[in-house]
Amino acid sequence: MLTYIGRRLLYMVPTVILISMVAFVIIQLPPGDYLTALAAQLSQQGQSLDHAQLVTLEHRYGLGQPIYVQYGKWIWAILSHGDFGQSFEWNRPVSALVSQRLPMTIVLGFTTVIFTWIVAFPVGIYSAIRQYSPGDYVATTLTFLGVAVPNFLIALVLMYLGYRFFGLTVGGLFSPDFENAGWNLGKLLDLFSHLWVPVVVLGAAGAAGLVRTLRANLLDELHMPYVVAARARGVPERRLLFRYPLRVALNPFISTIGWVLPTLVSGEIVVAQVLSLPTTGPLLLESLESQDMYLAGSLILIVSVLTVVGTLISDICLAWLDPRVRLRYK
Amino acid sequence: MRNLSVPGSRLTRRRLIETSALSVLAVAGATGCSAFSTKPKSQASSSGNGGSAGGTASGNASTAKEAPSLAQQVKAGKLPPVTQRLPTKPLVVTPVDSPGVYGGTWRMGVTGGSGSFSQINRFQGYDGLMRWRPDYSGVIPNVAEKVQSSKGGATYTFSLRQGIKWSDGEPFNADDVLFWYEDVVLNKDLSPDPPAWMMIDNKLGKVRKINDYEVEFSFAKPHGLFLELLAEPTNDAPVRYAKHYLKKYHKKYNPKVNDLVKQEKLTDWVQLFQNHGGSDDDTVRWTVSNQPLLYPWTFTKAPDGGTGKAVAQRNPYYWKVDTQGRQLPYLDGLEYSFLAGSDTNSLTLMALGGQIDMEDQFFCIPQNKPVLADGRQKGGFDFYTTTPTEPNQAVIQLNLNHKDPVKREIFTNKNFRIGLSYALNRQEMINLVLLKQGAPWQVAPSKGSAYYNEQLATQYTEYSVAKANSALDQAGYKKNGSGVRVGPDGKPISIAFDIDNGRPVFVDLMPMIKTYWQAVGIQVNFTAMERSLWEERVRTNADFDATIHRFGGGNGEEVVLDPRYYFPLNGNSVFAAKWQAWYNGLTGSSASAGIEKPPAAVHKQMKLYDQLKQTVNTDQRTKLMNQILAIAADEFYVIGVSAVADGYGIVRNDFHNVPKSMPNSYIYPNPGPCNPEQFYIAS
Repeated sequence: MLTYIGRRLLYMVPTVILISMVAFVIIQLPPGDYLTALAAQLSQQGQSLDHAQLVTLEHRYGLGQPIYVQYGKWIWAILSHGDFGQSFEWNRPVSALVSQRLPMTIVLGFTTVIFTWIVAFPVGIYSAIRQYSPGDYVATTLTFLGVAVPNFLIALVLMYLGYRFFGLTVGGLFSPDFENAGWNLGKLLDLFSHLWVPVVVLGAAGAAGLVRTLRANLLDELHMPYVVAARARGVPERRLLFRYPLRVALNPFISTIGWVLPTLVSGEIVVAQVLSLPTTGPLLLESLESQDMYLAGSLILIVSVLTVVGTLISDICLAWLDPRVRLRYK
Repeated sequence: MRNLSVPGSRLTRRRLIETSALSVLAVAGATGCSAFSTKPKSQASSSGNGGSAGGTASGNASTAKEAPSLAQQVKAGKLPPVTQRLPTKPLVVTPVDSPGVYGGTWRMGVTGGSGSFSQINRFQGYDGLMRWRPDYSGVIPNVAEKVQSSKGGATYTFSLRQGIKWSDGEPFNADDVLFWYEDVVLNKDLSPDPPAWMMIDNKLGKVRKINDYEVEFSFAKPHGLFLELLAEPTNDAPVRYAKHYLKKYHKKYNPKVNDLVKQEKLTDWVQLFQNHGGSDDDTVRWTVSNQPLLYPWTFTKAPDGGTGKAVAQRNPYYWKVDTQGRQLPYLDGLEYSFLAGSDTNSLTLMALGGQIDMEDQFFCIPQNKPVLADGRQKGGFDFYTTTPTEPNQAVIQLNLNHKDPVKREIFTNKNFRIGLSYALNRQEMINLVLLKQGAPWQVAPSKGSAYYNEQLATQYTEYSVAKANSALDQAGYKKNGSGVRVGPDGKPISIAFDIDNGRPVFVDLMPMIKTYWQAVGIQVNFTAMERSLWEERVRTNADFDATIHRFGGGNGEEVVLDPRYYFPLNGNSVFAAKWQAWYNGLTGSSASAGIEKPPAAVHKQMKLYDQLKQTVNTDQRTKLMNQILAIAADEFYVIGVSAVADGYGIVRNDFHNVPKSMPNSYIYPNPGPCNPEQFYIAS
């Protein structure tokens, strides 16, 4: 087990380095740079950037340097003193921008995961052991819908329903009155009254997918000879189910732990965009659009480190849970 | 059951983390005030937020000379009395409908990230030396009390309003203007290139202090458009750099400036100076809170990170009064909701929910009008009209300076362009894509304008396949056996359009254009591309056949200030990148599309425009501009589709003094010139 973890840790280092390089290069691949993007946006609003202003900005952001110099400076500042650089678009340190949005993103991410599991776990088991029952048909129909309908569409529909029937503005995570208010019970309740929309939207597809996977895996196991043998020996049905087939069918749950971490940061960008959530997802999208390279690069770096760490965690969990995985590396 | 505890405990752990995270928040909340019973209530009736403040204040405010909040501060001795805060001769603003009451907050929504910060100029940042008249008929002195031009327009002497103060109470005078000129414009670190509006004939103007309240701007040659240029947003720079505040960030005045640079972890003093508001760039300067300015409201919480709220509060030293001598602004403050991304759905919902008091940008697009019209009653708002100043809704431009000599020969053939124009069924395009708003029109000043030119506006707008075919035949490109016209190289003529996919209207127009032109034997294909790529291909490198864009001047003085489609004026005239590069004397990377001396007619227009720029007399200027437009009509550079249709803005029923109609452009940064300081809220 230890060698397994050790080897995994060792693989992580070159992976992260490579990702950081590729990310930085890819961000710079589109034609132009931050200033082109800015000029493009201004021209879309009917303005044009004075030549004098362009020159001043170019000077300010040091955009003339070759790419490897920019990369070297950036990565060195991160490694030596955790400085992710300045965001061009916001004129603030990247770390400040990210930390401003991270708490809300984490709250949203965890709530979504909990929601997903609470829904998916019982429904998946039920629809497997009661295959082709009316309940299974209902669950199957709903989960197919959940998988098939794009998240952002659900978000738009909920926004409309919220406005039409409840007079709610569902965009954002707070009502206007609470947006700048300090934390108190009112604000917390207000947060919950808004949080359910993105949680349901984000959780819908995830839960539906998990239900399908759990159902399929469990169905495979339920007809295995060892289940029949155990049943023949008089093991009570419930105990049998939880002790053997479910344990095997759990693997997909465990593997998704690894994906939870990166989605905390990059999240469902489109949904967050539609609902105007103050999370890191839209920040990443905007930074890519405006070619705000240090912000985009840092976010991608953070996401990839989290992905690598998350994968490691879920691998360890899998190995711990499933002897077949663990013993292969003995 | 032992194994069930595996997933079970995992769930509990997750739940534990979640609950503990929330309890942390709850603990944090305990530090705030516990009066939460009122706040959830305001969620249900959020529409009353802005209005109620104005209503309660109205009792004593109708006679008071200043806002109640300021009167309180005066009483407490924190602020000098209003008479001492106002200049000796404050600018008197005539309210649009009625004198207002003090109080209330103007709520708005903004999307689009920091690229949208320039829109803030419209609401709270329009106070330069000069300003536009509300009806856009010309300029009037603003921070300047009066202005006198001499030497045929080569010299302008501004008399500043005596006793005017920055928003922190420090006096404003000629030294501040000189600080801007000598230490910002002339400083090569801060301004590698001087602002274009300070130049005439490629030479920078000079600024001289006559006395504390008089400054003189002088130029090598007459600068005819100088006062108009000063009225444009962001050209308020001469009166935006508060010397007493900014000098500690300037190398020349603070020898220890590097300590501050280190303290704020910046790379040099230029960044430091800019980060405290010493910049002309909107994306930089609007991120600064508590900067001394001359505006009616200043940011106490500037926009940061693109989401959440930004708050601006009244400038207690604002130097304008209403007709009864009461200090403006009426409104206590402005509150912007910054929404992530560029999607306007959330903004539209906010407007429908009555959470936007007045606004005409971002979400006020034709597509949203039906849903907003339906929600007027419920949301408690109504519309006002905005009249666009553009010459056309869609300007079809062929690349007249094409790199490929064959294509260039075809595109510069006037008969070819005439044929293409006749082939367009404009009414159908208007009905299907432009929501039936508009009328067939070329790229030309609008009918009511002093610059209206009938030929330019209406020529070749008729839909006639026969006329199109005969014009194309005349151009010399005959059809081959399969009905396709062939160019001088014997190959079929095809035009590739590059379209910015951020402009769905143009993308929707393209299939129609393709059908119309194919019907007369011209092949068309088009690519919708990401905006930066479009910018790079079309504007920077001029590496394209054809494109569609908009903007430019079509009404009022904007025809003169932005004639980008009437002749190759600047980088916005993408139909003739090389000619404009020649005109502007561009070199190096600025002229990446190449430089070329334009043909005689274009050259003549450029000469006329140079002459116009140096002409102060408005009648004379109109004549010169009309000559330029006459040549534009003969040359027929670009093809128009439809005249612009009126736009709209929304204004809540309790929000007053908004004109029923106002121009809409960026040069006239509506509603800025309509004096937002006299808007007020009262139920």
